[in-house]
Amino acid sequence: MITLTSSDGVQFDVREAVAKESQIIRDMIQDDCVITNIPLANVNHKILSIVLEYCQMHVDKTEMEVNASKHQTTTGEGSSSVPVALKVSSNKNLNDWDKEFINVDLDTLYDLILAANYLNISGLLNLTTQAAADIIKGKTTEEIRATFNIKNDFTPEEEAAIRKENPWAFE
Amino acid sequence: MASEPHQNQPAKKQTVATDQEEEQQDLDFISRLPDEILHTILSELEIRDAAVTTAVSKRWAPLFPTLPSLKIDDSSFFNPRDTEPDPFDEPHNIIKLVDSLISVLNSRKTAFKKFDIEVDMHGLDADDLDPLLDVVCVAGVEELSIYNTGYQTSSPVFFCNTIVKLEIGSCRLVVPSKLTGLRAVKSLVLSSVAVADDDLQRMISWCKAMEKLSIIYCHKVKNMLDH
Repeated sequence: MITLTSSDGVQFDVREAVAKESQIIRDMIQDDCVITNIPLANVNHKILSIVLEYCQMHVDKTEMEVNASKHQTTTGEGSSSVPVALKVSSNKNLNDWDKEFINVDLDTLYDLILAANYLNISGLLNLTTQAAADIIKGKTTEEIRATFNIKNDFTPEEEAAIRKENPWAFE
Repeated sequence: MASEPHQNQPAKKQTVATDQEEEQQDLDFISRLPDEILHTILSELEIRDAAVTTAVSKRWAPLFPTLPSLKIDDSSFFNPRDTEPDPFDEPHNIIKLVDSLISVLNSRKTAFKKFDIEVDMHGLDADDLDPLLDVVCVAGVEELSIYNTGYQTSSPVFFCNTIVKLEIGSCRLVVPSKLTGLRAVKSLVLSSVAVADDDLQRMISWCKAMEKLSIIYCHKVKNMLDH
């Protein structure tokens, strides 16, 4: 077990495999194998608990697949179609789970992106940046501003000049 | 610097910090993300969606011109607000967009590393995209991925010596008899590609730097000789 302490002092006890989903924690454990308590200065308890939920789910699913393939090799031929089907359905479930998991408000999405970047959890970073991209997709400049509450700090002349640089994108 | 009175320095620094804080507080959440992450987000978008963000605010304006990874798909050729695109406009749209993109790529200040193209258009001619790929290959692209149904792999690719990762999919692969490029290719992925055995053989034996080769769903590949 590893204890992770959030920036606001809340402790989370997790299995080493779950903590190791983070590249930064994996490196720390590798450098110092007796480390048991890791303070995380940049992640508060609310976001850390969501991040750990993600890591827990992904570790569980991977372990389930490993067990399924072990089962496949020990039981030999004939029953091989069952674990394969299990693997496919577990991948599908995990994608569905990810989709549901990332259905959060913009503030949380922003915090999750920063946490995934800081902890270096590539799967979570891909998932969160893809979610942000999906929000921007197909929107006009005005719609992007309204969605993210971005202030337009261009003068009308400046904005017209910017649009002129890539006119094909605004047609 | 040495001639400046020392007592002025801390005060000066503080003013700068406060200015930055104020500037930060003025920004919405997403605009406060570092450039690297905003680049990651924009690189998930096709090129038109990514370019539209330049007009959002001053924070966003420089992101697209410095984006290291560009992506083109079917939606790049149509106005997303045009609900019923006219199929007869396709060739016209392609030529127009290819011209626009070439001028965009030529005017970029920083090089791009990655270029993805995924189009599925029946009206596409083999050489419609060649002028664009010419520019991409000359610009020193390192990762190139081309997926397009019914299209023959563009010849500029075979003469490019900067590509390290090459992915070709859903097309007919015709390898020129004389190759001069592909010398830097370390990873090659061919997916759902129709290719003649000797063409494939010639291409693989030419890629001397290759470390990884994946051939996925290429039904016509019958004989593979290991070199």
